[in-house]
Amino acid sequence: MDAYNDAVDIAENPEAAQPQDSLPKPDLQPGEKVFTVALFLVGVFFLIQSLMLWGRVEAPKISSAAALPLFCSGLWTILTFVIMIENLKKTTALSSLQGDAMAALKKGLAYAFPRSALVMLLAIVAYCVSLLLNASFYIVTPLFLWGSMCYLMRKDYVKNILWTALCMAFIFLVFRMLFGVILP
Amino acid sequence: MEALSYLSVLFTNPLLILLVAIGTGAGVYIGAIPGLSGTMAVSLLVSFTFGWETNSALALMIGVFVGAVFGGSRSAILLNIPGAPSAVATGLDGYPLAKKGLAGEAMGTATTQSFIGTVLGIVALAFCAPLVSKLALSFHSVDYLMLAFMGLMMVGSLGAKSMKRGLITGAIGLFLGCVGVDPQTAVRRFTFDIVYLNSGVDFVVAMIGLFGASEALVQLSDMNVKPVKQKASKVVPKWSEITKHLPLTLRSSVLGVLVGALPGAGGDIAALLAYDQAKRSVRNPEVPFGEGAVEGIIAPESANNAAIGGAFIPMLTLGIPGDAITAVMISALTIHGLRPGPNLLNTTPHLFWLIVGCLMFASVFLLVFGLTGIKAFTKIVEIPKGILMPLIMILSVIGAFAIRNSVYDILWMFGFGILGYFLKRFDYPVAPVVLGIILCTLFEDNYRRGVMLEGSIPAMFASIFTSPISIVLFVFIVALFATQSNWYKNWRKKKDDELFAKREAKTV
Repeated sequence: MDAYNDAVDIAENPEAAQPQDSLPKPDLQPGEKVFTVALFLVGVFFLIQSLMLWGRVEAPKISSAAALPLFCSGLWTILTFVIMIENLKKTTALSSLQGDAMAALKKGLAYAFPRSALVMLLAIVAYCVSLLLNASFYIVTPLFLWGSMCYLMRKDYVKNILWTALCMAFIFLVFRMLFGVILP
Repeated sequence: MEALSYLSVLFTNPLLILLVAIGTGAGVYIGAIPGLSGTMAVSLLVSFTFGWETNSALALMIGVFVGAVFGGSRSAILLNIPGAPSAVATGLDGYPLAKKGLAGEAMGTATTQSFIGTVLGIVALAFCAPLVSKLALSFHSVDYLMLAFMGLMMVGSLGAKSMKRGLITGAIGLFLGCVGVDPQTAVRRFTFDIVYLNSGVDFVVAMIGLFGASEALVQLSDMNVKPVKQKASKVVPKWSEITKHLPLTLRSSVLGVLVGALPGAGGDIAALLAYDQAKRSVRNPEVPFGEGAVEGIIAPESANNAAIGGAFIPMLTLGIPGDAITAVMISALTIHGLRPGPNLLNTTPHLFWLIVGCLMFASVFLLVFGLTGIKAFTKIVEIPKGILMPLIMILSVIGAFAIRNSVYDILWMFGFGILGYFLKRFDYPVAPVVLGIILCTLFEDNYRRGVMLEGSIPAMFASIFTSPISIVLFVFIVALFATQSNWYKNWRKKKDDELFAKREAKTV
């Protein structure tokens, strides 16, 4: 966990991790090159899908349902490809770690998923899954609120119960009672 | 004189004025809460006011309409979560101002500009309704296409690091807008046999995810940043500041009225177009756009509220809704035995002037409610992140679910939230994704209609030069392209330098 914490600190403040005089300021964020490749691959997937749709629709194809998706996915793919090429010459905070793939991976992941964001992401996934499994909104929501408040604040466990109660009261009164909004 | 006598009915009926006030006050808060929308509130009011007298029902609905359009700016400025699609552009400069502790000033500006915009929209409705509706009816598919294209050109203004990045996310947005069953040919596009995807991606779900959930995640990435203490002492903008920006307010309001009057294009598109034109036309703003430029609040706020008056024009003169809320209001009028359309002005002129009067009162109440309670609103930003962010997540969940009562919308909202989080983390702008989804239908429908009508793309292009409206729009597009070129930018810089040198020489 300490190694992860160090990686988080370095990834969030890449300049502080290295002497200012020795290396120039990185052009890109840690992991940005990988993100561009991922965007490119998704673009290629949808370009192929659009081409398949183009093949399926009847003429005149230029005014068909496939025209705009093909244009958009094509533009998306071409531009991400251009950025990918441009990125080759650019440096990131991980550039100094050439050869140490594990360290670079750790730092990249630490930048993409800082601890608080990662924990909250997992909490949200758990929350959504429980809603999908028909768990009651009035049970999982206060649990989610209190749990995340306690984790993020790291204190005031009792006070957070009050905050949770206030939030739930606001949601119930404004959304359910006043506007009759159906809650999940 | 006849108009005045119809208007006096409202002035002599305190109940109607009270209902407008209640509606406006409620609308401001409805618009400000992510997850509640003006359309939802007016829809609820249709059933709620079913047994009421028509005038009273209309007064309440108009109040909510005006208040909700403005209210969306509150959450956009304070939390970077637009309460309504028409406030997307407001957050671009409003939120940076809040980060500097100037949320009160930003909300004060938004209020006064919304007031001016609403008033100008009412003036257009009262005096130019037949003219504007005639103009709106003269729009062909190629004109709508050019309008959508002008909106899409805004990605250049929204690109954070480079225009390429803005274009990529804009293309992603347009692509996402294509998902679902094609309304013209019933072809299923990118649904992968998932029934839920047949109806397409709802842009409000995308907006809540990309702005709300993603902003919460980004904020959580750095828990060391403490909430900024807000200065709420200076809320009402100085008269000199209002008059200084009046030309921009007028330009944006006229744009708002025209776009609002176009069926299918409402305050959201008007605000985005106005922001773009402000960014291009304002020379040397005190603070750059995107970093808290006051002009970035003035333009969208005056445009989206001016679009209210604009949206009523086709509704009252042609029976065609200008936006989603006026569509609901048409059904409300129908329930009350009225038929909005060309005959409405002749058969029930009192109703037309009642709507104008209610809008006038609503704009005044907007100013009252908008300028009060700002201090309390700014306190929201000062709530510790650990409390505020989980609440934003839950509000995003409720907002996404409320659209179609579907749990899948929640999943999609978080999907967009995660996409937005990564885009923001790696310096890609998220606003063009929403822009793309919003403009997709307008762009695609009119492109395909235009090509089908004219037979080919070159023929469609040639058709531009057969209508004065098309020519004007085309000239605008050429001008927009020209102002983005390096040649123009260098020329303008040279001009500014010369002007600066002349001023310096004069002072010496």
